[in-house]
Amino acid sequence: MNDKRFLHLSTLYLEGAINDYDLDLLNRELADSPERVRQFNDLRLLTGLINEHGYAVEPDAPANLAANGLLNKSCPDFSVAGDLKANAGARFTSRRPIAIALGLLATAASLLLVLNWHYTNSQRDENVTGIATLAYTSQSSWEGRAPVLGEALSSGRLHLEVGLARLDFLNGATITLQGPAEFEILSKNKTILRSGILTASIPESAIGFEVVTPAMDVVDLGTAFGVSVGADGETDVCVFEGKVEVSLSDSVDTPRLVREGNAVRSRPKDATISSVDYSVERYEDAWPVTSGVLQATGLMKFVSPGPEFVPGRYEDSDHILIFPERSRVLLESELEVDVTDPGQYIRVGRRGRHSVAAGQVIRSYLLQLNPIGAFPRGETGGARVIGQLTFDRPILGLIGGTFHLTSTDEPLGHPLGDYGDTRRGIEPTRPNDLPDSGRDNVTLSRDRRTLSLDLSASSAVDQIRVVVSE
Amino acid sequence: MPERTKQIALAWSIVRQSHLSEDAYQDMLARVFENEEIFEGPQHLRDWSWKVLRNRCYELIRQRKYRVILLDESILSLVDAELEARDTSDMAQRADALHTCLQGLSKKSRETIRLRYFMGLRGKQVAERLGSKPEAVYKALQRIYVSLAECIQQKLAAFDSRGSIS
Repeated sequence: MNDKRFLHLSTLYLEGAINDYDLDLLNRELADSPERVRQFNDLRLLTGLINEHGYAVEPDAPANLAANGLLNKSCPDFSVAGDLKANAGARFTSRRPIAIALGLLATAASLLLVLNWHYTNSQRDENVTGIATLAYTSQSSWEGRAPVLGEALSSGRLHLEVGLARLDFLNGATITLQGPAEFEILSKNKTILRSGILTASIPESAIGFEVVTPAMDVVDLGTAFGVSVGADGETDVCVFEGKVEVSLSDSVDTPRLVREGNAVRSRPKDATISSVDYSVERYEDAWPVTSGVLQATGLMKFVSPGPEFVPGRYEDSDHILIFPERSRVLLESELEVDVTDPGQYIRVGRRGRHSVAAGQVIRSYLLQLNPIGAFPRGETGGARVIGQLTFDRPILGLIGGTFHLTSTDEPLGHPLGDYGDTRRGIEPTRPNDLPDSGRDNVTLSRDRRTLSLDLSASSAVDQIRVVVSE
Repeated sequence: MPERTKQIALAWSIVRQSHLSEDAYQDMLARVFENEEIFEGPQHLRDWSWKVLRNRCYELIRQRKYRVILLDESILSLVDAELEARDTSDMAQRADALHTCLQGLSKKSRETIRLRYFMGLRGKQVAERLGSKPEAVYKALQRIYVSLAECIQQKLAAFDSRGSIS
């Protein structure tokens, strides 16, 4: 259970609106975690404070100053109680005459001093450390102290002047900032984007992750999305996958649900959130980093995020397209692949039997060169494209043969992808071909993170599926 | 005041109504004064007062035949023990901060707090007044709590560095 869910259940409990199932969850959460007990009591103390001192929310309410005057002199600690009691008297049916209470309170002054004895060691919140890690930067420059790569970040502000910076949260959320951006980590589940661009990928473990902006609160419901905040606070939210809830800042209205392929916009103080065209250009630099591709050079092109940019729906004859397909897939059985070891390959689809062991959590990408238009079988002259890309995690295997590609479309392919029935894969070499013959050529680096491709597509669609450790 | 805040928090989390929690607290105080001579020291007094307050809350619920959903008894003991042991020595600063932070809420959020806490309305009634749904009110309260907690924390940090709440 993440923090937001826990807070929601605690709030429902205090409101008497929790159901039996959630009550059971809350019981178990509190039983298992001293931290949750502390958080639960943080909330109770806040409600106690509001009860005692929240009369400020009603500044025009008449206070019974006459009743409080005496108390304020003799017992400052009870002035608030008197205030509340006076206010309450007009609205609530108190069982006990005020006079009796006042008498008791006056007598109570000395005893209350006893009640207000010394306390246990302070448990006041300290800054939580290690909420996120600075996982990657590119051409980055920071205002103030620059965090170093791998540094554990606690709550606090970050001002990225230029470049990209990826933050990996301990709960699994991944955020990439694109400078100039002013960003603040409040907790492991809550952040503020005051200006700039971010893209986010939120796994199930971090559902409820919140990005607060000057105009809107964005709450993730298990998804990937981009947020852009202009200098004037105008905020755009674009949902790449899944769905998010958006609400105007400080609104008590029911949050609005935004599904994948949709975008909304609002400005500070606006009374509404408007739908706008789904446009992802501004996120195209940050999104690949969030998706695990740190660098793509040459004629590699990471596809735009969104339901239209999936295999079978999008073609580009000038680039090797990189489609992120699935993430956080647990291999329940051994996965057959064509390549597992570093090296240079010109017959990816015809390697011996290799496999990725069961029990690993992986993600998959499809790399594709698919020239627009059809070439007769055997005709040369199709596009030749060279490029290189680097992943944030080691590559566990490559799948380049039609059979293995087809058999892994269902478990590893994009849910919205249309993989068709054309010949696919890395073309096999012909007799007497040499490594530099211009045939499809794939190189996996020694550290297993960088893949170099030299592809020539003609009648077949060149595809290779990359299996990366999560 | 700090102990009072904790005890009001305890009472409110049982009876869920401001005036009832205040009544329970007043009753507890009355019992304390009536039995002033029995206390053997601060710890005895404190333990006794918490116990009396808790029992009084349950009595009030029973008397009014309210259906109140409560955590399991063992869990209640666990969380109440932690609450009792809380260091609330900075409660005065927190109260000051709360005043400021409440003013920073939107008008609608302040109205939600006013209706729930000081008009004594339950979530459904608050929703009716605001033309909203109960679930929206619960979510709004949740957001308000987070906003207030963060704001108070920031004010306290400022207080630590400057010595005053701004």
